[in-house]
Amino acid sequence: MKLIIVSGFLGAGKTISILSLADHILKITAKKNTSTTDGSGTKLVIIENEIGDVGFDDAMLSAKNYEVKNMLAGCICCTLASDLTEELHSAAKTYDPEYVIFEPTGVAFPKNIIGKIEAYATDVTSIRIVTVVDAYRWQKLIQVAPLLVQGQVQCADLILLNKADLVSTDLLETVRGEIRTLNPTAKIATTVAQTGIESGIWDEVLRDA
Amino acid sequence: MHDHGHKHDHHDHDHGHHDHDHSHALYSEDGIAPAVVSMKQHLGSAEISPDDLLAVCRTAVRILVQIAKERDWLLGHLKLYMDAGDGQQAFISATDERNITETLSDTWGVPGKENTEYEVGFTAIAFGAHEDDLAATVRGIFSGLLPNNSV
Ligand SMILES: Nc1nc2c(ncn2[C@@H]2O[C@H](COP(=O)(O)OP(=O)(O)O)[C@@H](O)[C@H]2O)c(=O)[nH]1
Ligand SMILES: [Mg+2]
Repeated sequence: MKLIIVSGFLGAGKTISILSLADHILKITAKKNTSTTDGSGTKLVIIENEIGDVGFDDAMLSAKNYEVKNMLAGCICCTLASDLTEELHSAAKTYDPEYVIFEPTGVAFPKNIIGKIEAYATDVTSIRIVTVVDAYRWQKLIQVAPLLVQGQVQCADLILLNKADLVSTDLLETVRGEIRTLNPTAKIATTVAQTGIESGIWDEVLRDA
Repeated sequence: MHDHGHKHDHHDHDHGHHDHDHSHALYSEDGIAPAVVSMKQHLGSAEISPDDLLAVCRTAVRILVQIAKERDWLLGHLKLYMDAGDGQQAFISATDERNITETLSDTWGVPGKENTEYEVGFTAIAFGAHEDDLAATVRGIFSGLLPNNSV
C-alpha cells in the first residue's frame, strides 16, 4: 500500500489537487488491471483530516464517488499520527488499496507524521509527499507561520506552486526561488489546480512511489 | 528520494507553549493558534427554499471574508456545505475575496422538494482572531440572514 501525503497550508488547494490525483490513479490502475474481470475493486482510499467538528472535504470527495474516511482533528500534535496509523490499518484490512492519499490539516507538519507511520504502519510500503503552495498567499504565510510553511516545503518530494492564475509572473518566480532555496531537490510544478493538473506531473510522483 | 528516517517520538518536539487543552487546541509548529468555529444547523425547506438558503450562505461567506479583511484576520479558510441528504449538495469554500469557490450538485434546487430538510455545516478558521470574537461574528451574520434567528 503506497501512501501519498498531500500537505500544504489551509486553503492552498490540497483537496482540489487530490481530486486530480485520484482521477489519475484510477485511470492508471484501471489500465493495469484490464485483465481482471472485476474492475471495480477499490484501488484507492482517501483519508481526510479536517479541523473542526464539521467535515467538508470528505463530503466533497465522496460526492465524486471516492472512498473517503474522515479524521476530524482534535489536537494535531498528539493524536494525528496514531489516528492515521489506525486508519491506514483499517483501510488495508477493509479495502486492500494500492494507494492511499492522505490530506492532513493545513496546520500539520508532515515530517512529524512520517516517523510514526514508518515505525507502526506496517502496511505502508512507500511514502511520497506532495506539498501544495499557495503562491498568492505565500509571502503572507511565511510571515505568520514560517516554521510551518517552510517545514511543509522542506519535506516534499513534489511541490505544486499553485494558484498561479492569481499572481504575476514576477511574483511567481520570486516564490519559486524562495521555495527552491528551502528545498533544492524536489520537483516544482506550477499549477492552477482549479483548472486541472497535467497527468505528467502525477506520473512523476507515482513512478517512485 | 529523500530520507524519511527521522523517528519521531510522541512528545519530543518543542511544544512548551501550550498545556494540552484538548477542547480545540490546534497549534502549528510556530505556536500560533488559529481560532476555530464549527457549527451544524438543520433547516426545513418550509422555512427557506434551497435557492434562498444558497443565497444566504453565499452572502454570509462574503460578509465574513470582508470582516476578516477589515480586522486583519488571516483566514485559514471558510467552508460551508449544504446537504439535503438526497444527492442535493452545495459547497462554498473561501480563503479570501479572490478565492471563493462554489460547487453545486446537478440536482441542487430541483423543484418539488417541499419537505426537504437541509443540513448546513460551517467551519471558519482564522489566525489573529479570538475564538469568542469569531464565533460571535459568525453567529451575528447568520442570525441576521436566516429565518427565525435560528442560529
Ligand atoms: N484561483 C485559484 N483558486 C484555487 C486554485 N486551487 C484551489 N483554489 C481555491 O482555493 C480554495 C481552497 O482549495 P482547497 O482545495 O479546498 O484547499 P485545501 O484547504 O488545501 O484543501 C478553494 O476555494 C479553491 O477553489 C487555483 O489554482 N487558483
Ligand atoms: Mg482540503
